[in-house]
Amino acid sequence: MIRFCTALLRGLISVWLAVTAAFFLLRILPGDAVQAQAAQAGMASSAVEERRQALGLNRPLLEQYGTYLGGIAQGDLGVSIVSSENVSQILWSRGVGTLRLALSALVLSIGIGIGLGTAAGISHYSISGRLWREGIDLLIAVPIYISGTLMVMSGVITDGLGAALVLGLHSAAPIANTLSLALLNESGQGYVVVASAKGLSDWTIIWRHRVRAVLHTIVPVISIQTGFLLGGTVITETIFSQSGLGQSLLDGVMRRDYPVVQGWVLLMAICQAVIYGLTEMAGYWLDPRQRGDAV
Amino acid sequence: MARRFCLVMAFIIVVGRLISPYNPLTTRPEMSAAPPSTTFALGTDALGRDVLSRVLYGGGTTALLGSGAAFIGIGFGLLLGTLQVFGVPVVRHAALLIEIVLLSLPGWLMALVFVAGMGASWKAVIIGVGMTQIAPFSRVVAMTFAHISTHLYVTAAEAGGASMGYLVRYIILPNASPILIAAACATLANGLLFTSGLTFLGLGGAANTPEWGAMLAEGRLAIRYAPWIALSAGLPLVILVASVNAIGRDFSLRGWSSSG
Amino acid sequence: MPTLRNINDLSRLVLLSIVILLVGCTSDSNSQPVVNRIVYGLTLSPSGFDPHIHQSSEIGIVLRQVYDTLVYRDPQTGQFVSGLAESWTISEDQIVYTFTLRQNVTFHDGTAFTAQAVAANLNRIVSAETRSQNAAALLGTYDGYTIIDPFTIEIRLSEPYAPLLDSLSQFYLGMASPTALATYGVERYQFNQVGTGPYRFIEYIPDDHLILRRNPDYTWGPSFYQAPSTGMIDEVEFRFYRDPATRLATLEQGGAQVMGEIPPADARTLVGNSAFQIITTTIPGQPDQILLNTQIAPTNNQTFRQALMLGTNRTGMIDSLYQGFSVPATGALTSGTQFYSGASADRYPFNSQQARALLSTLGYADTNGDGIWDTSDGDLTLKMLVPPWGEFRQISQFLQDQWHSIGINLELISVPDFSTLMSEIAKGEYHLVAFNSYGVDPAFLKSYYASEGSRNFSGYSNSELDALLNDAGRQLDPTIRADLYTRIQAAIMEQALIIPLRDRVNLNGVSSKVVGLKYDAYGWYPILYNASYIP
Repeated sequence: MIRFCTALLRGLISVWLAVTAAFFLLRILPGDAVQAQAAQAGMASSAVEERRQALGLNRPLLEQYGTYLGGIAQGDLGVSIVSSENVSQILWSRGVGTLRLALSALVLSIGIGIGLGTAAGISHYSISGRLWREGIDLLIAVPIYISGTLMVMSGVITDGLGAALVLGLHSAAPIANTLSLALLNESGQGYVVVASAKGLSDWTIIWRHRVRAVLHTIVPVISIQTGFLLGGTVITETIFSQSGLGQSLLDGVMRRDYPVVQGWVLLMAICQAVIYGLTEMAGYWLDPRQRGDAV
Repeated sequence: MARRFCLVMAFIIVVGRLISPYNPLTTRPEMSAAPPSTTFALGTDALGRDVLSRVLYGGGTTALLGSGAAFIGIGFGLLLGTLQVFGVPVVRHAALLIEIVLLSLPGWLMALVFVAGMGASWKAVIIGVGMTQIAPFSRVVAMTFAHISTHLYVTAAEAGGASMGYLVRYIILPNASPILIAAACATLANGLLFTSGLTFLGLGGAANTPEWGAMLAEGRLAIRYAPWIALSAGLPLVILVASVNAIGRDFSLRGWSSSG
Repeated sequence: MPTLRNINDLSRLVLLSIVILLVGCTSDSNSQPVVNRIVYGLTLSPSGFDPHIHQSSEIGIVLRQVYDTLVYRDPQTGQFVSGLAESWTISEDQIVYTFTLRQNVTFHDGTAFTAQAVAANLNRIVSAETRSQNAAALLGTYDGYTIIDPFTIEIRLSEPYAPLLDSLSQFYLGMASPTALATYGVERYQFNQVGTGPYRFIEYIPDDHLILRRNPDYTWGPSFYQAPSTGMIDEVEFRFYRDPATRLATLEQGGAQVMGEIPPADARTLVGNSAFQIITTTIPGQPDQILLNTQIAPTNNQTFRQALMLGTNRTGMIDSLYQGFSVPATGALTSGTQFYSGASADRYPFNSQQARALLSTLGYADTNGDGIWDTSDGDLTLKMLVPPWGEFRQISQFLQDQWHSIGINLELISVPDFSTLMSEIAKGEYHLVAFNSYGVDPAFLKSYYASEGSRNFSGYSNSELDALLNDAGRQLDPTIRADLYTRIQAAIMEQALIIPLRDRVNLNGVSSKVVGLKYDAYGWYPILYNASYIP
């Protein structure tokens, strides 16, 4: 119970900190939304000032910050300066697509990552093991916009499914890498010898004991990948022409649409806090020794 | 085998400028996107610049960017991760908070802010990209340390009167090193690739200096009719990252000592 | 305690992921009845789609089909022809335009088109609440209207404004249904648009797609709207393709039947291919160009600027970057723009020796032999603001190299986006900046070259030029305007205020199954009514 409360408190504070950081970081970037629109349209500077006034962009920074926080506390994420759409509406409509993409990619990446990592990690000196390991090295090294572009150009799968595949593959790489390394380092362990002596088949040893024992090492990697899949996929979205949160964020930053970007960071921060909570739980589940407090 | 590749890469990176046949910045509009020939071993790019020369010059910048960013990411990440596990509760919670906040902010937004604030220079890109790598590394550090600390051998060592310093140096770090090295290699890879990702998004740094990642991102647009541009920069980049990863793995295997 | 038992668990995971993927995919596709349908590729996702509010030309590709305008420009002759207005007269003093409206026109929602509708639109456009980014500015010196009778309306100006008819022919001033305008309000209207055009607006999902469906009751199009005998396009889906590298692939794979802004080198590969055609449209307006800042040294010196022009191999750059699809620009207007004058085309032929000679007459010397002229602050260095769009990044790198040979160091300042570009411009610490805009009527030149122009990035101020620009914007007589604009363009090139780069050309990739697709006088906007699709 206490753990849950601490987690909740930590979550709230981290969300607040993230939104604050975003709020002030954004203002470091030169220009604001009205000036950007105005310059493109050739609007008179008096009209620009009027508009900025109406939006409250002229008020002292701390005051704007306070108003924004107050709004969030009441569940009002604000309205896009550029399109006047409700920020929550924007996040929701793009978020659904992103969520679907992220979930499929995540499942794929875990499946492929574990499979590939195991194949690469169990046979230390055999040729197939080495091939798998080189494969992982390559997968880590190839930039996602290259594999994505090649996939679209080849016409194999060009829509959301392709995006999920590419994302899944690339997210699988660090997972496989970590798992294979952990497996390689555990190969001399005592319990393996014992199991072998007991007459268990090789595969059972591998799955039930070896992989199971090192599975916890990929938990932090997976949690990072999850965060990335939810918010950092703008490149893939662009290449596969899929609408998603990544692009709406890029647009928001380019247009200085503060409410949209801040709303986005708020959403991400909540996701990250939740992900971390789940990660902790996964850690305990996979490694009972961690249930006591660390050190 | 990876070691051999790495040596070749290192050679190219360090010595490249000296053996480059042409000035990498010389443009030849009449020779735009020419395929490899006897005059231009790897062909020319859209502006008619010799691709081979640009690749030879570019290695140094790429290595600098990647290692600079990785340095920042690994250094601060190690610090942040350690604080999350070994420290008084206030410090532990604060470090975790910082990590979560860093993960909530989009990487390229941070990079963009630095570029906007410091001007579009490679220094700004290094710091910006480096910032994005801190949190992922610190998470791995924190969880790995936490896991290892629960091992019996740690408790045993503590019971035997080992000091914190001794614990960390001789027990925890050696056991954590395989995972940490894997993560460090991933950080280096990300650092190298992130820069070309920025160029892809149009947020890249200085426009003209050759750099493998930027060349790859720009070469991508010409990949159908002039694949040698992307290939010439992409291949060394991929080989570099892949061999660093492989070497890191070898290193961690040999360095692993205790059999918990 | 639960454990990851064995391979069964893994295969269950894989199965689950496949299911999620499949579900994800199928829920995307619309189940549609068999209609004659094409997908049209747009190239960027604008911040909004309201013609009266937003200013991106991209939205016109869609909205030109949804709205009619009072007048139209014939794409062949460039003359004004009747649209929703059957005829019009202009008063002696050129400040009252009287329009006689076409009768028996209805909006897509059944509302009748009358003078009241026109009034409602005008009110909306100029209303402060609308915050129009372009449409209101297009109305120029607009000063109000008077409704004479249900089919006659007077539009009044405070001063003569030559481009009024041109503005009224642009989709930005398309006529929307007053009922819809009133029902949905300023913000929601863009998702529920109602016009009188040949296509009805069905839906708009931001960043994802728009759908239009043919208006079977459409009989009041301008003279150059001619429906094909068979294969009229019943439905159009517009999708966004921001990544230039994958546009061709999407077209070739049938993901879209029309794709805009295909990169030149990709377009070249389509040339022999009978399954596709390239429709090239020249975009009137300003060419891609670089403006020189006349407010700071050394670009405040006319001779210096002229030396820069002489030291630039414009033809070489453009030919190699655009594969012959684009023509090098010769001045402040592209060759397809009204009142274009090619008189300055050969004013600055590429000649580095001459450029160097000119620079040395200004007193520069290279004392340390490094090939770059020296100044009191070290090497002679110019700063250029480089945005990431277009081919400006590559052009700037070309220039860096070319000007190095005439002894000038060019420092490139990359700006990541429009806002940063604007704020850098405001700081004034640049010598060169890349920019461009579009339009058929060259009246927009005023905002760039008049002393008080809102986009006078070169900071040039000359009362003679101001007078010419003002006059040209007021005169209605085309002969007089042509003469004025010729003098204006000559002055701009004589002063070397800009380095013109290329005439903007849009390369549209079109499937050969689409027949008869034409573009209107503004270059960007397709006339889908005339096209047919035989799958």
